[in-house]
Amino acid sequence: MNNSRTSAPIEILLVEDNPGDVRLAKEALKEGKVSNNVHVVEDGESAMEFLRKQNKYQNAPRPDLVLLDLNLPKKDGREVLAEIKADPDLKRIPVVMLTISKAEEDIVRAYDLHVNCYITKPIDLDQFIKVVRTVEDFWLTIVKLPPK
Amino acid sequence: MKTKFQTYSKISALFTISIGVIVLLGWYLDILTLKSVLPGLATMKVNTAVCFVLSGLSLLLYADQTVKRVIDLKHAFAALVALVGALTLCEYLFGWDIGIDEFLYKETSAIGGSFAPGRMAFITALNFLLIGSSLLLLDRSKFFRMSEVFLLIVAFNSLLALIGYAYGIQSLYGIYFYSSIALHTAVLFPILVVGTLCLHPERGLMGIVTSDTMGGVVVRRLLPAAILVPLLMGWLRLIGERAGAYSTEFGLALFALSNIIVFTILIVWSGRHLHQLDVERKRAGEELRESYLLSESLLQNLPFGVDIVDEQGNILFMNKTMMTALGGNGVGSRCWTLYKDDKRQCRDCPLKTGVELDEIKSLETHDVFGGKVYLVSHVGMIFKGRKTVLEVFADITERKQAEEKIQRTLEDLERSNKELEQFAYVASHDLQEPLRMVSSFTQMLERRYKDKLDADASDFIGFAVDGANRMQVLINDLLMYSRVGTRGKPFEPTDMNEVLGQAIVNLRVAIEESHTMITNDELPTVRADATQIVQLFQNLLSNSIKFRGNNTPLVHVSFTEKSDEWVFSVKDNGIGIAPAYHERIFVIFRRLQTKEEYPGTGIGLAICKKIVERHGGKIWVESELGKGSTFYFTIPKQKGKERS
Repeated sequence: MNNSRTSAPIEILLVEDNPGDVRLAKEALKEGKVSNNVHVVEDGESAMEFLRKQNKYQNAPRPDLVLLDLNLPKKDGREVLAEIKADPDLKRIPVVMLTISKAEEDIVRAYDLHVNCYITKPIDLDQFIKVVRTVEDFWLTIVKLPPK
Repeated sequence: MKTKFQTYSKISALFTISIGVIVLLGWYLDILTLKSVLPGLATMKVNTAVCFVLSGLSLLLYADQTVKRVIDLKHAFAALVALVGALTLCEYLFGWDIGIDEFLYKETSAIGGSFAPGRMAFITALNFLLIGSSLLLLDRSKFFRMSEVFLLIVAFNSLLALIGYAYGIQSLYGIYFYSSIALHTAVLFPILVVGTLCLHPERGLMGIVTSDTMGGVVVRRLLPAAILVPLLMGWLRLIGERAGAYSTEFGLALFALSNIIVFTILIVWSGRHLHQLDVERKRAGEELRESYLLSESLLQNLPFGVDIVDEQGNILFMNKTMMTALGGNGVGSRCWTLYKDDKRQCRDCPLKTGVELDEIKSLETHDVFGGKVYLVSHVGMIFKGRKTVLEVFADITERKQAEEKIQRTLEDLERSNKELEQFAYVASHDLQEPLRMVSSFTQMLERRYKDKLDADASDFIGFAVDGANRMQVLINDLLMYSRVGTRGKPFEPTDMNEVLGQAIVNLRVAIEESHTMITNDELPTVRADATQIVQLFQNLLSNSIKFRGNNTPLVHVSFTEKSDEWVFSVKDNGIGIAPAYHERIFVIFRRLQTKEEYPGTGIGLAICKKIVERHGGKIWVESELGKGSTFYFTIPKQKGKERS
């Protein structure tokens, strides 16, 4: 296992406009095995500013994982995804689409835009917590990622 | 007709030429009979015979125009004839002797001692002058009448001579004692005149004689009689008188009486014939009038507006329907001043490019007048001797409105489908989000404060979570239902065996748990949306499994082929459905069982119905309570358009 990962906390960017969902995700991540810092932005524009360290996010860390909702105010999730994957500096950051939509066209669209994985939020709390932890575990401990 | 008359002309010309040649032979061989017909009568002179030959040749050339001649011989001959006539007349009138009388032949045996040997008679010379001039002028329409008058004078002169011969009155055929007109000369002139008149049977006097009008009939019947009857009667009278059969007075009375009788009979006969003709004409006129009235009444009252326009756009005729539509009579106006407004329509008008005879060009016009839509057919035709265009305006406003209405309805339908799609998306995302919050935080409450809550509180939390979950399922079902129409794929040849196999794979867990036996016939390939047919089979099979009762579930899928459709059936041995509910089960969210017995929202068969209807088919059930159910659905064979 990578020692640097266990010692330094993992940076996670959560792009989510619903405070309830933010809270649920935070609760789930709080109980995770990996120590992490969750940064929350509520719309697509802020997400891009955070990633590019612009305006009030000049001191923001580079995230190890982005959890992205589909429907957001201003820039929506698809646009954010497209911008990340088109940006040579950002495109290696794994982006997990975490959304309520089961619509086939949303799923196809997201993968066309090179999303790293697409997950439908389970309605049941226990299942949701399990899914979030699995995502964290998979992307931050199992998967071998390129250096920052 | 003209060729028939020209044949007469040719015959008379040839006859005249022959006689002329025979008389010349008579002079050459000195045969008296040929020169004077009967001994003692005047001879036809050499010049006369030559003039007859020349006149005949001129007439022949007139009648036979098939060959174009370099020199205008017919006029040359005619001129020569007139010249000979004129010179001879001069000799008579001024007492000259130019020497033409014996130019060709020296009359040796001057019988009767004529004062000018070889000279033709005065009357003959006059006739040749007239006939020659007439033949010269015949083909100039300005002088046609004159040449006709000349010919009639010639005929009159000859008739006079002939009567003289017939009645034995020498003064009539010889103005001067020593130069009387020969018998065959007097006969040849009328023949030549008739032949010449026959050259133009359609003009002048001959025009009347040959026409089929009543005037023509009268002339043809009475003219020969008027000439011949008095001639014959007078001759008979004279013979009788000379033989001493009766006195002069009696002879005159007999002559008058016989003339009266013959002409009365002739006139009555002609009158009857004319009367008959007139009656027939009147009847034909009446029939024509009736047929005119019929077509007029039809034309005026047709449900189509009809007008006739000339190539300059002047309206020459307009029927009643048209006037009503226009609100007035437009005859005499230019069409574009009446059929107003939209100049674009005038630009496309077929009148601009012209419409050929019997050609039809169509144009659809809007708001030309009265805010209606017309299909205008333009037909090229002749009206009052002018090239015109018949315009027929068919009012297609209602058809157009109906088409537009259908178009609008289709657009509405499309829009409402779009809205439904939008609604479905809202339902899938925005409605589920708050629902998740309710459910998740209620559960969070239970997790976090389990120790501090009593049994009631746990129950309440359970109901709240259950309610939220059920609502979630309902929303998903509704979404699925609405997507049958909006998310369908195009129809393609689909192997129903494969489709059924896929449905069975999808239901594998339920089939294994319930030990269901599914059998099927070898199914056909149909045109369908495979994804939807998988769902159709899946819903029907899962119903069979769900409502299986206490028996081991047996399901059989089969089909029958009809002329225009396939009928598929899914038969089970489950609990069955009472006939009263056979219709109701296909209505969305209709359930026959309580949720405790058989969970579900009641969406499955509603979705089946929607899928089948999208394919243009029907779905129904045959079942009795406790005796299993058979669900049937049809798929049309033809490449029917999918219904949206």
